[in-house]
Amino acid sequence: MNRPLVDRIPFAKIVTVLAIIFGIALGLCGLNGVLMAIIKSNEEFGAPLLVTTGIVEIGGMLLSGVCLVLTVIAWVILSAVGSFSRSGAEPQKLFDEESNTGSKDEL
Amino acid sequence: MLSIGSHPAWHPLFETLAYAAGYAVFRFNRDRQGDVVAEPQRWTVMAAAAVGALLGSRVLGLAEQWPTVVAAWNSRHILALLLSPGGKTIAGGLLGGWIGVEAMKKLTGIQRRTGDLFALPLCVGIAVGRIGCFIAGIADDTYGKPTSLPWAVDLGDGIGRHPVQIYEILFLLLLAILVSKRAARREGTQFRIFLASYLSWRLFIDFFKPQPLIHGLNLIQWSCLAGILFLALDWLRGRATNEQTAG
Repeated sequence: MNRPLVDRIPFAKIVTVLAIIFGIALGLCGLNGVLMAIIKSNEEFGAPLLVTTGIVEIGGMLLSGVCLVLTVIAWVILSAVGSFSRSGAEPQKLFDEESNTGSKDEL
Repeated sequence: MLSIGSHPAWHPLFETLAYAAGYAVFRFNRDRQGDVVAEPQRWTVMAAAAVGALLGSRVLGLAEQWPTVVAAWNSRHILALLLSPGGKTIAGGLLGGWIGVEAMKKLTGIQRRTGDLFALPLCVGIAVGRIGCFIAGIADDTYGKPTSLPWAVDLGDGIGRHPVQIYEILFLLLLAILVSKRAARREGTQFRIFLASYLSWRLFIDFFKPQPLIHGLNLIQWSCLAGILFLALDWLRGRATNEQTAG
C-alpha cells in the first residue's frame, strides 16, 4: 500500500533549510550598507553593483520566505489529510470469524 | 586601544559559518551519544526550532529597537523596516526556538526531552556568529558601551568600547566545557543548563550595551528574565513530579 504524501515528502527538512536560508538572506542586506559606502567614493562603479546585490538579497529573501510559508501550509494540510485517511485506513472486515467458519461448513 | 573598524560584509559569512559549525557539532554529538527520538521526529523538532528561532529573533530584535519601530510606524515606513538589515537577536532566537519546539512536541505527541543534543552546537554556533558581530563593528547593533579599560576596542567610530562580543565568546567556551561533560544527568538537563546560563549571561552583559531601557532593563533583558523564571518554574514542577513518583 502507498504511503501518504506527507510521509513521502521530507517537509521538516525542507522547512528547516528554508528557514535558515531566509535568516541568512535577511542578514545579507547588511552588505548594502558597505556598498553604499563604496558608492560614495566611486559613484560609477558602486551604483550598478548595489542594485545587483540588492536584487539578489531581496530575491533570496522573498523566494525563501514565500517557499517557507507555502511549505508550512502544505505540511499542515497534508498532515491533517494524512491523519484523517490513516484513521479510516484500517482494513475493513467483511466477515467475522463465525460467518467464515459457517461458509466452510456449507461447502 | 585596539582598532578593529567596521566591516559588516563579514557578518553574513560568519552567520553562515555559525549555522554550518553548529550543524557539524550536532551531527558529531548525535553520532557520539545517540538520539532519544527517531530521525523523522528529530527533523520535525529542528523545523519547529528553526521557524520559532527565525520569528523570535526578528520580533525581539525589532522590539528591542522600539523607538525606531515607532518612528517607522508614524512615517508609514514599517514595511521598509521589516525588510531592513539587522534587527535579529540570539536571545529572541533561543526563546522563539524553545517555544516552537515545545508547541510542536505538544502537537505531535513527542514526550521525550529533545534539547540536550542542541546545547553544545548552540554554544559553538553562537560563538562563531559573534566573531562576525565583532568584525562588523559599529554597523552591528551588538557593540558595547564606551570604556577606558586597556582592552577597549575601536569598532569604527573612534571611541574605545567594551569588546562585549569577545566577552561572550569566552563565556560560551566555558559553557561549552560545562555542557559537554558526560555526567549522568536527567534527560533535558544539559539544554536547561545551557539556556539558563545563556539567558543569565545576557541579563548581565546587556548592562554593557547602549540600548533603550524600560524600567532599568532593555527588552532583551526583560525577555531573558521571563525565560529564567519560566525555566525555574519548570524545574520546580519537574522536581515535584519526581518526588511524587518516588513517593
